[in-house]
Amino acid sequence: MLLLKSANRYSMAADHSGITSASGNAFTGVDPAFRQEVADFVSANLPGDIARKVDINAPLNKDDFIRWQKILHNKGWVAPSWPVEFGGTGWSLEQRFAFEEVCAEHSAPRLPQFGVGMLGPILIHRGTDDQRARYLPKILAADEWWCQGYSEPGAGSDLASLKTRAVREDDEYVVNGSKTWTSYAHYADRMFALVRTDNSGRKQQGITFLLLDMKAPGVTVRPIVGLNGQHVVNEVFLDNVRVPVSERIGEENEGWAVAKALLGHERTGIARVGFCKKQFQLLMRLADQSDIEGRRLLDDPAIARKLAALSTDIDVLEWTNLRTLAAVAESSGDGTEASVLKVVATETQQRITELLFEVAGPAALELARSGEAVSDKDTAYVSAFYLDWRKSSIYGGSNEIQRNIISKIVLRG
Amino acid sequence: MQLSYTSEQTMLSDQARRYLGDHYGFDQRRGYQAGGGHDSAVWNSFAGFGWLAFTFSEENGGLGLGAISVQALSEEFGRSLVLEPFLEVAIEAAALIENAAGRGLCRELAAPIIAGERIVLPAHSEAGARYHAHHVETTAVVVGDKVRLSGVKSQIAHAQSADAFIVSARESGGPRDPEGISLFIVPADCMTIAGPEAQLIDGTIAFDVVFEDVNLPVSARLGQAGRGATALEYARQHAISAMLGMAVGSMHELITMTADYLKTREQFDQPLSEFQALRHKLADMVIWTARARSAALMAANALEETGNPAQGHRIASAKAECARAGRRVGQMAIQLHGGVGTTEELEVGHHFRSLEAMGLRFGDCDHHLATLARELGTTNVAWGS
Repeated sequence: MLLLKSANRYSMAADHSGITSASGNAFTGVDPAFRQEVADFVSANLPGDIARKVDINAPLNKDDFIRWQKILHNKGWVAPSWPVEFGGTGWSLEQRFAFEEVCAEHSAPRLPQFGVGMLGPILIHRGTDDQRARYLPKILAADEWWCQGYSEPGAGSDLASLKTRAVREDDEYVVNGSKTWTSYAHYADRMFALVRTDNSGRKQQGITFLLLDMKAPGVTVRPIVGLNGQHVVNEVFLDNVRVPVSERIGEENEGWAVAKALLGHERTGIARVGFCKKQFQLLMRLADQSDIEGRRLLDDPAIARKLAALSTDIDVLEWTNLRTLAAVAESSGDGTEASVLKVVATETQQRITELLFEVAGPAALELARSGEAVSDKDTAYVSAFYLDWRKSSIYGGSNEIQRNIISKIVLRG
Repeated sequence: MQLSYTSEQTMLSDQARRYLGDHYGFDQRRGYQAGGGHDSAVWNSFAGFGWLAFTFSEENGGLGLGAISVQALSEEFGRSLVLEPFLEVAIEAAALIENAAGRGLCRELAAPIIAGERIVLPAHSEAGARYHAHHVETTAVVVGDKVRLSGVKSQIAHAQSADAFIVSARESGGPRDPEGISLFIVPADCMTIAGPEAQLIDGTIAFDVVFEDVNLPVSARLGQAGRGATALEYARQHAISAMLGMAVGSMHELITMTADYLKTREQFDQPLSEFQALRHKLADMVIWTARARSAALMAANALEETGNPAQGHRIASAKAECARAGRRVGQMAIQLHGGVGTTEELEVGHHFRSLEAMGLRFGDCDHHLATLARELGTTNVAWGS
């Protein structure tokens, strides 16, 4: 049984301190003092311009991300999921969850997770001592920016069908192919990539995990502009790119297993409950405005009901996330949890963006305005956010794929 | 009652489809978009086909075609995502002139519009209006034989290309009274087109238009002082009907594109069209588009019946349905295209954005549902209505 002492969505200070699981010890909640410590630190140290961008979903640039990461790094809080010996925090699962949520509630940006969240744990578990020594400190300090080279134009939901080839020549691999949906490749110093080294067996076999230099000859980055008019993702062409064998993680042809261990992590970080609550605050701020006759949008019964329904969605997301965390901690559950959470989370997030779009009214017609002062309006990025967030039911295994997984498990049972 | 296009209307849409196929492909459209959305060669072709004359009556030098003919044409504009201010100039402004201006002035204003020589845009929307049809804070004060306009009209798409505006301004009453609104024809060089420019989600560019004590001759007024609301409502209804045609055309195009994509894109060693979950989504796109077409045709039929008291109801009902259907069809098309659908690189995303823009313009789904709810007798007053 899950217990909740109080949850006041407007104060944002959701109190999970009473959470416990059936066995009474697996997911035991977080000391309120810890949440307070995080909140105090973020309030005191997050630059105001970054917080404002986060609040209105304005795009963040490389400098914004690096500034915040270096602030966290000085505090030792960059890598909640890493063991202490490698520069991690040593926090419990509950603390990591609380940290993410409190950060989001206080308008801290979610840092791109390719280095800290994805490659770091892979290096820690599967890298050599030499690889760890070379890469982990620079990941923590934001001195090297990593991007992820998994998806390809022909390999989306069906990732294992990837075709980028790596051919061994002495102590180097020669890589040819292209990667796509590569977030921030234009910022990146290095890429971790899945490449095909063998075609003979099942498609999951014959994949190798390589680290490559984005400045190496043969690497070309082509921007892909999203529906929000912004450039975040890219296509990356690899044309005879030479990668030393020492830059391989794990054995040749065993890259799928190396990567797969981390694919699950992408799904547990997807709920973004704190972010959803923060967006609900933005919605309430917009709905609270009065028209020329002194009536608030919130007093429109249609809008009020939609907001109420959305607040239920966010409550449900929060508790679905907590139950999923508890199930992970206990290794209980039937295997549908991560997929259920992905669908619940992304559909809730998309409802938020839709309602923001509706509440903004005619302002939502605008994709962007020139001039800094105008782009600081609360509604400035509402349509960009709505349009962009359609991607959330596509990435990380499309919601159709998740539904296939869920029904397969239930029907098998 | 007309339930399908006549052979003349079909010929009209075939002609439009051929022209747009040759001159308004996706890559060509990119070029027009980079140029702000209005291209004089394209516009001259529109004039040459007579498309700018549809709304004007024959006695005023136009073709006097009805709302269903307009939809037959605008549907093709929707398929090709035409950026030109057809709706604003050839439907909305034309309807304002036709409805409000006296005969002599009407002929005088209509001729250069029909010839494609003059872009005349309605300038009615204001920042505080949301979707309120009569929200006018811009003022018109008569001083002797002059009238002085002051105020700001917001989000006027294509303002940079306009030769003149038809401006709603208040001569009396409170900011949302239907009474007291007058219409004025104002040359573009009398006012400031204010930056910063807004890039709209449908690919056009809009500006705020600022009137700072603009002095006009009283003869710039179209129709009677304070009685502009009737013409505004007439023009709004016709613009909505034409826009619903565009929305239906856009939705049809999305069905075609999405079906093609599902047949060619392979994942897990088979075409996406083999997955039943995806086929059902495609079927839903067809169902919602059929609903939207029914609604659009219902609205156009109502407008063709002069004096039909249900026109307001039909327009509200159809607009609500098309906003709802457009969103669903657009979202499903993106979802079925997967990652590539979330970029500016494929046409599908531009249709989605355009459908969302049409969903908002002239009032979103909730706005029109509130109108219907009031008809049903609710005493709840929705915001901005």
